[in-house]
Amino acid sequence: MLEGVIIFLKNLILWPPIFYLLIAPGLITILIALIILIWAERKIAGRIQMRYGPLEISPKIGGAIQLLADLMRYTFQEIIIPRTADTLPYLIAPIAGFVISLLPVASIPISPIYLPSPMNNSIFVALAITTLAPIFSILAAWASNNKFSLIGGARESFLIAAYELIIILSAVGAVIIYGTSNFIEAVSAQQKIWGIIINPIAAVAFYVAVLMATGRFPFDIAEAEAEIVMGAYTEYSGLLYGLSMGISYTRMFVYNLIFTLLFLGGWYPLIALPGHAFISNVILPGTIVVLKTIVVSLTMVFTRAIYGRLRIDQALGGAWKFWFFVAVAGLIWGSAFVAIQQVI
Amino acid sequence: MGGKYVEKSVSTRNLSLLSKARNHLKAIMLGAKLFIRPIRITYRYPIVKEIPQEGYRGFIVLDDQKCIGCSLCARICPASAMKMFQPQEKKLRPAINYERCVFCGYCVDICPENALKHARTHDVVFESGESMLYIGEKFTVDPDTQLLTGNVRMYRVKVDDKRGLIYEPIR
Repeated sequence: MLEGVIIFLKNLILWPPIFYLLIAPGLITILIALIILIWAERKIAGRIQMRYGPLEISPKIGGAIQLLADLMRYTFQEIIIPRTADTLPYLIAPIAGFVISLLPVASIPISPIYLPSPMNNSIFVALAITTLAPIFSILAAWASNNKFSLIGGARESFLIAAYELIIILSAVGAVIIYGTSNFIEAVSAQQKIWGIIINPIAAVAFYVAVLMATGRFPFDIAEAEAEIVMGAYTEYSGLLYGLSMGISYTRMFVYNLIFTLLFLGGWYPLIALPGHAFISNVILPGTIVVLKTIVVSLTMVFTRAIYGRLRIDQALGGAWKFWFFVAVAGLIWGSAFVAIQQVI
Repeated sequence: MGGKYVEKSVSTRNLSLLSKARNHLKAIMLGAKLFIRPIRITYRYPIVKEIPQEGYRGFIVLDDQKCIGCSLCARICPASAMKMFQPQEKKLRPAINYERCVFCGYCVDICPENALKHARTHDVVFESGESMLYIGEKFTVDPDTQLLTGNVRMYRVKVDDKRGLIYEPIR
């Protein structure tokens, strides 16, 4: 009886959709990455700005569990709903935003054999789902009925139009080279040489567009703390604020998963232990992918310490007048690479 | 379109693509340099303490043997923090209330017998208003004896040509 229950639970956890969305690279991995990234962001900014950063809560490990304390505070804080807010969308927006920013994981594999859902267009499905989350940010801004929120939502909607095209065009620049829109085939095409070396232009455009999409510096325009208190999430408090703060980091993690698989060689160098199917097919490739993703995300949080904030017109001008053409150049470079390969 | 400030902003930022890229690279290199070798200008206050320079206007200590009870210190005090008290069968002695004291140092300056002096301690936590009144024996205890004990690292501020203010460890 007990053995049956244990086997059932084991099979349930190892069922790919559950494993992907709950354990890796889903909820649990993203929460751990969130703790590491937010701590690293504050610590790096502290080091560069000649201070210590978070330290007092656990001095021996450099204040690494600071975010756990913050999360606990958010969890038990009172949630204040303004009288003038539109209650239902106000409550739904951060929750749905967090869930939907996590959802692209459903089509991002972290292993060559063990898949969340077998599909041939997984790159385009993942990119399509990543574009949904900002709508809930705008919904939160509208439902809050606050002028700061409204300004933040308007800025967010301007930025969406600027960065989404760059992300998709530069991803297509990589997809053209691999000749497939399936993550697994795209990664196995990078077995010898990584995509960032074949098409560096598209990789740089993708990287900058992800900075813009997730509100990292210098594109921290939609939730500029000094100008408009917290942007679209000004009126939120307690657990809802914690969720809304996590949205941008979750989106950054998911975009960086895509970046890792498209440009950084995914699970290569692939290490396989003979005889251990689960370890060599799931755990080792997954660890490699998640580690690469966290390293890329660390370079993104590093920008907080060195950049100021751009104005909205500077960011939009840069996106439309420069980075859009860089993404198109990446697309042309990818097509030219394929054409040259076919001639040779 | 635009305006005075927009034109000014555009004209000063009208750099070539190469110099823009160079400026970005410079910023990233500076950040990386500071990340690897940080220059910290803050210190962890309760664990690390800074020893003030000579002549720092900290707490005031009374030398009971030198005091002649002339009450000049109580007269000069601008915040009325110092008052004269008379213990049993003794002359007048000053007492100080740190709830009012502004650490101006007039009482130390005016004392004809140099009976008052500044200690270098400034940071003491009081649990109640009554404990802020230093009277009799309590006023003659030098708080600097507690400053140098305890499990703390001592630092002294120095001015460095390259790095500005630095904290030099004493022990």
